[in-house]
Amino acid sequence: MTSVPDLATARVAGLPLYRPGKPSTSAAANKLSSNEAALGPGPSVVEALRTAAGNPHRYPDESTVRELIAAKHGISADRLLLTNGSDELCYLVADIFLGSGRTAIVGDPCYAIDATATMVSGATLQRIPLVNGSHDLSAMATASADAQVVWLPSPHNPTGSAVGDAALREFLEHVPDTCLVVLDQAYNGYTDAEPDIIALLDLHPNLLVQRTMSKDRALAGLRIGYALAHPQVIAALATLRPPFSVNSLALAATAASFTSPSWTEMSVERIREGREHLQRELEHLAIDFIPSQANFVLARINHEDLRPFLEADHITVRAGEDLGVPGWVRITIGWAPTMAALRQALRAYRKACPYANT
Amino acid sequence: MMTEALTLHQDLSLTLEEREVAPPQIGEALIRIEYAGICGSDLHVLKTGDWVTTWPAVLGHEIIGVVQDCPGNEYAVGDRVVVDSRVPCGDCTGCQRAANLCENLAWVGEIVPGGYERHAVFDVALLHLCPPELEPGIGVLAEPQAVAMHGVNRLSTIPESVLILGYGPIGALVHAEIRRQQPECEVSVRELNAERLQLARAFGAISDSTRTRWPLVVDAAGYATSLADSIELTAHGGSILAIAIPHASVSVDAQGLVERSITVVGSVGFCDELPEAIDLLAQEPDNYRALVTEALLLDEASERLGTLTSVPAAGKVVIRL
Repeated sequence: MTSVPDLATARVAGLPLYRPGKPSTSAAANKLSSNEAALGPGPSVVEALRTAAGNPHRYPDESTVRELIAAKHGISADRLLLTNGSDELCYLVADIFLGSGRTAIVGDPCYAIDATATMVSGATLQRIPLVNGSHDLSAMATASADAQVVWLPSPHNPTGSAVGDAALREFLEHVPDTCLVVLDQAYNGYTDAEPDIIALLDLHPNLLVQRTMSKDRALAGLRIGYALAHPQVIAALATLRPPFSVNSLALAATAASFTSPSWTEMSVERIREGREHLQRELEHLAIDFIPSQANFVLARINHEDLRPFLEADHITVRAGEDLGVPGWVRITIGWAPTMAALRQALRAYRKACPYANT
Repeated sequence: MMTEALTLHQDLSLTLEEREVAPPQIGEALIRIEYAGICGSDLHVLKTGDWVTTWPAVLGHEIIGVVQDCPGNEYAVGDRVVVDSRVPCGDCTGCQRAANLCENLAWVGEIVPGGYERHAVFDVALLHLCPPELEPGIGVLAEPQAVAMHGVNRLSTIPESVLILGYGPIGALVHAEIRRQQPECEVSVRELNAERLQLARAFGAISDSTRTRWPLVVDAAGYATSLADSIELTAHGGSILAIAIPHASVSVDAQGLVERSITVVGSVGFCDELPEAIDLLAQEPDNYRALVTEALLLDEASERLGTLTSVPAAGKVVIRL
């Protein structure tokens, strides 16, 4: 008879363990490896957290945040579900729509949790290679004929490439109604233009939009995200979701963030400036990169070649090996002084390795 | 030793060049500069050459760095220090009260080489030791933070509502200091630059108040009529904190000043606030991080200094050395 420890090991055999980005050994601002918000939350969020911290004995009440998000999107609250980070939503989707004998489509490379949730459910994962860092939407649409879920992050992680409004419309026209499209918009706040997702949700009951408070709203440590979808899909997800999976501090912070959006607007502006500045620098140094619409840039540099030049300032970036893109690094756009230090490191790297990856 | 310095010549040309730095003597320290902030007064000097006594000049009086050599052992090699920007004469009656009241007050970067270079030698009396947790990119704000603290400390009280004219770095730091000392105070801001106004709103300032007059107006703008506008915007019995330096004489409504019993408080530099500013920035870096909006490498600085007046930054611009 198999022992309990062996049963546990057997259940997760072959599943990857999520590896978070390495922290800096000095100031947290030097961590450019996890796509966190460089400037943190605004004063109104910090104040809301102080107030909420006094009431941990009460169960969380989602009603205010649900109303705020519904009002922001101009939809009824039965079309949205709050989740414990957007990662919880991946597992809920996999629970309902996937499982043994079913198939999910992902880009290759893909966001790690999409793959893990699929594999945990027992479903088959079909990987469609990216083309120049972007989703091969035509191939994905074709493959969706025999699939139950398409995981579609836009902007994509780790490339930062976004699907435009017209391409998204065309893609959705070609996916069968029986296949759920999970449009993960974690990095939507940093894009130059965003698709009209409510119009698309109205047209396509098989579309689910996934959002997180972890990126532009700077609440990664509190774990809160949400889904927008057809009311029946939301009701099914809500039935499976554990009650109170979003805690009261996350709700208080999110309410403050939606009520006082000025901080997010300002900090997104800084990140966009930083992204353009970094991309100009990479161009100048003839380092290949994928033009990004997110708060990070994927550059073709071997992590081990770059690492010695980052050590003086204790800067960490994400090795492409962790993300399915060996030979590349993913650089989060950080605070201006950290980005100046990074530019200095990139110049030193280029001087030492003048012919690498040109 | 030779160091790389952004050098301002008397013809107001700015060049990146090598400069000889003499070895430090007893009572001095050689500092490897980490960051230098760009102040509005630096931009004025770049355009006019005003206040500089020794040419060529190396500007920059907002300085943080690391001690590299200190023959008198007042500081250890590796100590992180902030440089006091003030160079008082030490002989006048003002100096007997406070350094910033010196009748002949001069500033680092104008009377001695400043921070727009990789290394500099300073009198150890100008150095303030930083706590180890202070991030240098935040610590570079210590000097303007001390200026903002001194301005607010000059007030007898912070009323329930304040108007700040101008949301450059000093206006923003005065806002932060008012918020720290009086969190309930309602702060309004008038600022024409959209990015600066966005920063003000992000920190909770109101830009569409229906008030016509305030019990306290902070003139952090220093434009030609900002003091006159401040008088017009100050309520009966109110105060004006004048902390920006206007570069021309202005005429004001003296009648309004008298008839509404307005108190005008001028504030230059700081008194003994610099150590407190350093500790505050070490303890609460995230309250100040968003105020540093641009960081330049030394070889990027010359070009940006040329455009900063016409294309102002949203917040503080610093040079990473």
